[in-house]
Amino acid sequence: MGRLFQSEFLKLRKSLIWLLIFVSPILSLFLGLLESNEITNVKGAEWMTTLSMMTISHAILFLPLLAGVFSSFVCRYEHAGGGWKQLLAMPVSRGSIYVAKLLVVAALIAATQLLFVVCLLFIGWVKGYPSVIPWDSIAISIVGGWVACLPLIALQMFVSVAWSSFAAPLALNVILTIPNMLIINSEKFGPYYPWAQPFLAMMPNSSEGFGALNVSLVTLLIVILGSLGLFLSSGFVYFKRKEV
Amino acid sequence: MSNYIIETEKLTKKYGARRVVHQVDLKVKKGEIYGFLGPNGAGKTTTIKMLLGLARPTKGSIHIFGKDMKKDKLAVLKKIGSLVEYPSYYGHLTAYENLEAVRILLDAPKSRIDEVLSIVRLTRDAKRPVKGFSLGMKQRLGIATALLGNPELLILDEPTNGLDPSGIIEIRELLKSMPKEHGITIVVSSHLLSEIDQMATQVGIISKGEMIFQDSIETLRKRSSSKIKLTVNDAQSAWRNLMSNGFKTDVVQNQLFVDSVTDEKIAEIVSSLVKNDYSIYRVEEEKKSLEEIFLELTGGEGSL
Repeated sequence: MGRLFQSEFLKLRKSLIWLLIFVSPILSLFLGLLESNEITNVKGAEWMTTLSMMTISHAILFLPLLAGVFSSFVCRYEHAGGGWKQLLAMPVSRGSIYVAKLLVVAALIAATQLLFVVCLLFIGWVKGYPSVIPWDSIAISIVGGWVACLPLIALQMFVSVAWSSFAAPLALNVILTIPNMLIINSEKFGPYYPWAQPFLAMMPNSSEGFGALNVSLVTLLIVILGSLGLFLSSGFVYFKRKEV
Repeated sequence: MSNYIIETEKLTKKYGARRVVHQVDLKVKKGEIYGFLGPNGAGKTTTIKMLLGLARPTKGSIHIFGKDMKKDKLAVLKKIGSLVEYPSYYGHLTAYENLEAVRILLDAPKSRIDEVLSIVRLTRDAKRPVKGFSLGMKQRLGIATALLGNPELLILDEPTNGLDPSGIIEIRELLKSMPKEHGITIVVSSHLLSEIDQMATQVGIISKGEMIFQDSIETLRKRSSSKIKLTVNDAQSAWRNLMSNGFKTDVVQNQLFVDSVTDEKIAEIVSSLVKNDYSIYRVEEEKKSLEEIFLELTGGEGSL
């Protein structure tokens, strides 16, 4: 498994696609910096209000899109040069190949999330926010957003493995992500739409938060974990049986 | 336990109702260069994909190194180097990095990369991205990748595709030397008989998914039954004359052909012709070429 990772990272490092991890955090950085100070002046809540501001573009659009782009990409170089034939004739199990690719994408999303925190801290430093940083709330938001991306990665990996076209999985991803802008405002559908979950999980203080989390327990179990289980197992079974 | 490196039994592959491979019993002994021959679309690549676990057989079994492919796939694949259809590569990586990505998976020593690069003569181009390579260079890289893990069995599908004549000779000599020097067993597929003829020790011929011949190359050559060709001054009248004397011959384009008969019989024919005042210019033996045998076996639809 470790060897598969090394090999995947070698293939990834040389393609410049991983640079996309910087795009969304940097955009969020500007949004955070330009934001008017009126709202942020709520005493003690500066950090979290800025985080909410930055989350809007980052989690509604970029996280779901990046999950798709990265998934398509780690499959693209296998499709393009006949890599699947070579990779699947290696003495490594198909299951671990699939999991390695999923984890590489998850790692890239995690890196994006970490950069997002770095940008938040930078804004706080520039604007002179209180030195008491609400690490707990930030961590919940960041990790929650990452976990909510996992089902999207699982689905995108499935279609990226299945379709040799690079554009088709991306198109599907965009089609599923665009409705986010409407759906997150809907109390009825928002909690059940997997593509809306990164935003709902990252947005602090949503009213029905479960315990320390930003999403309710039902959403967490049924929508995030349920769709993760469904997409992951169907993709996994498909890949195990795929003929190259 | 059998002494075969590869042994398939009634190997069958169907795509829907279409039978691509039908009841193939492939048998490859250790140290052989097994030439897997057949016209395009005969089922060579599908068979090879099944051997490598890339495609699942519809029916039948595969044993490699005496192990069942269904149960011990990874242990078997560890000892196989392969190249299927066209070479696989990552265009954005250099030749060296391509090999490194595979080396990590095989857990081979780093020094092996330089070794295989020099074997296929790519050392000078090792630091260039592979997307700029010619087909021949990609093919060499594919062969280098197949050799990377010091395999005991090499399975190469059309390995000389896209190579120039000197490259073909080079790869052919390399493959021929391997069983002797390293005890490697090689399966090499081709639609070109001449290619197989020049390196294989065993031949399997597949046509329309079925194995129609499997034996040593010598046995295939023995099939080339010979004919005696006589060139005389007046073939038509000589033929009539021989017929009346009870000798059976054929006339094709003013030449007489006698199906392989004993030396005495030929002598009698010649002396009969001489007695009847025919001038005999030539008496030659004509062997059927391997190409003709191949066409005969594949029912004339073979591409050569």
